[in-house]
Amino acid sequence: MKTITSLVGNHAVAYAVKQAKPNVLAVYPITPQTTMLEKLADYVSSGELKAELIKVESEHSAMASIFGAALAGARVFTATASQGLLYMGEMIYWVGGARVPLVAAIATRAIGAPWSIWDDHEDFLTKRDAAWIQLMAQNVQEAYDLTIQAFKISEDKKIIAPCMLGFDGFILTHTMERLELLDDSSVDNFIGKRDFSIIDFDNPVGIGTVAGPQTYMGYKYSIKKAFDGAKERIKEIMKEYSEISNIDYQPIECYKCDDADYLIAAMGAWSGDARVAVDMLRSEGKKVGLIRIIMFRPFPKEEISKYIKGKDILVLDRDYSFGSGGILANEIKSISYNLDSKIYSLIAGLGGKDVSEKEIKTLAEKMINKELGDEEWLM
Amino acid sequence: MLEILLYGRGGQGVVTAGELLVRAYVSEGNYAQSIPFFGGERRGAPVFSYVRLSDKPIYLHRSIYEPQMTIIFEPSLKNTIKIMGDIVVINSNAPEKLAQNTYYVDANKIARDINLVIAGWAVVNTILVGAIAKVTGLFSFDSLDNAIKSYFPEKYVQINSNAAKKGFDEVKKIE
Repeated sequence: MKTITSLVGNHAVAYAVKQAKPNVLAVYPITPQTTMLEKLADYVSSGELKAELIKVESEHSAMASIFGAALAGARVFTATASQGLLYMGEMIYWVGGARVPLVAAIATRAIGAPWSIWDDHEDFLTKRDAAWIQLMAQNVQEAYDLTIQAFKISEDKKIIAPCMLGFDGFILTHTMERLELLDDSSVDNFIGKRDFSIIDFDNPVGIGTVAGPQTYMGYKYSIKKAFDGAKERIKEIMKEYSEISNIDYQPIECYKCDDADYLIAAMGAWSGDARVAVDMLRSEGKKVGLIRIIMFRPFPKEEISKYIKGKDILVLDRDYSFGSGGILANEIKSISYNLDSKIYSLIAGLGGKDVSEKEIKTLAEKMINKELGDEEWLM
Repeated sequence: MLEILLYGRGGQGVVTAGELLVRAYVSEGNYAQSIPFFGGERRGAPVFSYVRLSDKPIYLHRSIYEPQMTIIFEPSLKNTIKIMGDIVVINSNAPEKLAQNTYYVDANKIARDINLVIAGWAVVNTILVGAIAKVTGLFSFDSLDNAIKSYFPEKYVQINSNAAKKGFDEVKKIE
């Protein structure tokens, strides 16, 4: 049974977390995530959610505390953004390296300096090498749906890894949209009980110990193998979710790609604006499609490479790796080798700068007319 | 798709008004977005929020550049924006024609009459949302009333429901 309602993104994620029935939450405020953790605190104080809510003194402690609780077998959650995610950074790598099943929501936000509270994807993408599964939502519905999926993915015995949901700060966190909520028992049945603990009190082991040069790489290789194997399992979990939600979830969404001569690639909220740009281009007879990345880690190389052969692709990045280029553009370039595709990188929307479907359309037209540089900044 | 600009001052409930519009419209089987703009908010400073209403799924997430309808929460704000579109609803007791279709309601007086005042501020949002329901005819008063019930804590439901009804009943068009 589904209920149609309207919620802002932060409250939609909080509702999904409540339905996932975590045992422990760590809360520390930062814009634009704060109203999500406030909502969860309301659920705990009203008794709707029976969880231990730990008020910590920093983001570093938020992740450290749920790290411990998750090892002991608890289902756990926290959320942060921007500078908070950076301050959490050391523990982000510890839980990734130790393959701790937990979920964190990142309300994406630009990083200082200069100071900005507004949206871009830089914070989320700084954690791309931290051994976390990373998912990115396009709208409030997906922020809700992917949060529920994140718990199942993270605790799946073939995966066992932390999972991060990215959703655009303000653009989704504070925007109210229509969404469909699953009933509690459907969520219960989908995620299932967390029935394992990393700590086994009968067979104690050391966690977070030293690994010498002879063993360190072995640990890292085991994570690599787990992430390689996770791809297929995540697809299965997404398919399973799609069956109960009637919304199709896959690591990438391809919109009008099949007969496309040109492609746009994007992730996050503005991929919706890019989709509208595709419709405008199609109405003028220009065969453009949209590849939308929902799962950023593990990166869906095989799925993307099916579509990009011989195509010119405009890749939208709301982020930048200084001295290198757009992060998503670089990821797609890395798989376009030998596929005869040409990647055009567009850097836009940093620090909350608005980007319209007309601007995306104009840039796609410049790509079609061979008037676009390898890298353009939409100022 | 109808795009609306809600323009008022911090403390008047501009963001809440947008969210009530969304709830009411969605409850009739439609799609909607309320997009508040956040900057350096403080009580009394100009604030704005956007709303998209559509009978089809909405994919856009950018800001709204050319609203077809503008709601002005405070008479003194009317000269501080360029009005776009041909529908204006203004909180005013001495309205002037600001667009082809200008509607007005004396929301400050209604709010004070029913004691919908917080920290000295007349809270006019539900009155104006009631007026929008009447002016656009896009959703029924009952849908708005249910949205109010779903939105506010129980002790604030009745006063806001009354306020919305007064806005719905008392909004007038400048001929």
